[in-house]
Amino acid sequence: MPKILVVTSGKGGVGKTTSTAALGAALAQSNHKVAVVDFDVGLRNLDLVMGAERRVVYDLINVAQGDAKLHQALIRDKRLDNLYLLAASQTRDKDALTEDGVRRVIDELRERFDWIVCDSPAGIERGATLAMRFADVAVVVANPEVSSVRDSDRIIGLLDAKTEIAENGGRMEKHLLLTRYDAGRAARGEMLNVEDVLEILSIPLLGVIPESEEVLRASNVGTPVTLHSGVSAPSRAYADAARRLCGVEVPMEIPSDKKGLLVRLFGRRAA
Amino acid sequence: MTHTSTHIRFRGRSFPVLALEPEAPIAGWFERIDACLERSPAFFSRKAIVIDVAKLGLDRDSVAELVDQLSGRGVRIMGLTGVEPSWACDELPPILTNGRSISPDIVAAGDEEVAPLTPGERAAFEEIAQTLGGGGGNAEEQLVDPVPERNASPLVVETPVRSGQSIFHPDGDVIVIGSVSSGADVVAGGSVHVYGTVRGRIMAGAYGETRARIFCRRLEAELLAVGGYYMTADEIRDEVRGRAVHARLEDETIKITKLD
Repeated sequence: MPKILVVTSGKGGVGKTTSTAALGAALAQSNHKVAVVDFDVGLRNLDLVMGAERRVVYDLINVAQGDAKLHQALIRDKRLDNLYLLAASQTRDKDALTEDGVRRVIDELRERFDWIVCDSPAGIERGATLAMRFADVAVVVANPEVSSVRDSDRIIGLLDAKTEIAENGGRMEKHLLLTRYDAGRAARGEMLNVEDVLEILSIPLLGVIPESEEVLRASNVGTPVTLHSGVSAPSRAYADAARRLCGVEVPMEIPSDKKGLLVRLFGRRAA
Repeated sequence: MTHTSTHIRFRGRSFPVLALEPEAPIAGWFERIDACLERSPAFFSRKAIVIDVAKLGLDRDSVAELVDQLSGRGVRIMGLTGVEPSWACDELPPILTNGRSISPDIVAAGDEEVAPLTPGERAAFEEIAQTLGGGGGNAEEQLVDPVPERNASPLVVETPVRSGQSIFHPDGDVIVIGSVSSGADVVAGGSVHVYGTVRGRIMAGAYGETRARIFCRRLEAELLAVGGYYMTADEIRDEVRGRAVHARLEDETIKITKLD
């Protein structure tokens, strides 16, 4: 049964695209057939993070409007042959997306993939609502700070109201992914801690991604962080999160880069 | 509690006003108005008048013209009724809907907030009615914003109230099983009970019910209001913040008391 997963947050810059790429790659690494879809029409980024920006010919809008076939627009990842990207258009805007168009693309993707991971744009307007419209599962990305948490709360309200599953009386499965988390600063009260955020949002925790230079390093070279280094803290955190998405019980812990000399050495060598 | 009050009061209230119903042909109607004003030039002065054009079927420009004509004669128009609500603009008086005719009996027996007409006002209204229509039946007093019929059944919300969501229940109590997030509103005609943390805004007794109360398991609210009296987060004392509390109105001030 294919799953449509939306990665969303409300607020911009919290790590939706990074998380989409990392979760998509991690799911593909565990032998699922995965498509990552960029809904951020006009401000596309997922192609860069996936390292596929030089190979984009057709995009989501072309397929949605029937100007291109889906197989022409899907870009196969160079590292994993069961991971595909459907890029967004950079030259159009979000009004080019229609509900019917998106529905057709999603239905077609559903026939070919196990996981369709939709990277939502920031905001609560058309692009964001269409990205979540046909989802079965939502990963709500939040940073441990109040404005991000409040925006995520707003998005959770929309997930429970404006999606097809909710309108048909179903229940959207929602998970919280807390990114850019610094355990030390949270302990010193400089950012919200995990319990604070969970108490406010009251949805289950999918994972905590530690703040790490590795994330920026990976995205600069166009590699999902889970493929860049298997042992870095964010990579392990995303891999655990992906396993939890598949229903595997993984004990919740916040991986750290500073655990020991061994981890650090391995991390360097792999980087 | 000693702090400078920053309360701002808003309340829905009903007042009897005079609704003037121009009749076709308008020219003839204005002649009667002018005749009336000639006899008593201060006839409309200091009176709140609502213009009811429901029976005329005028377009927007004609209504604007009518309003200008009346304003030019010194009629102070506080509102316009019987037109499309979408006509609302700065040029026209505020548009009122849901006006109800009232009879003196209902006024006398009804809600205390609706002050009955004094004999003097009644006489004035009847005088206008006589002058304009030649008979008492043509002038109509209307209630602006009538207090809706209340049924006191509570509204139970079994999910968290998320940022951006608004729960509005004018008829009774609201019970939330879950939290009310920052950026969410709960507005109730009666009391509000929250079995969770309140981070948003709670307005109990939104129609002026000063006996309404607010109960919550944990208070982190942005704003509390009871019976139209408001208190913002800044005014909430530290010793009740984060605690299980109930809030009520006492001497026009919101008092917050710990529950445990």
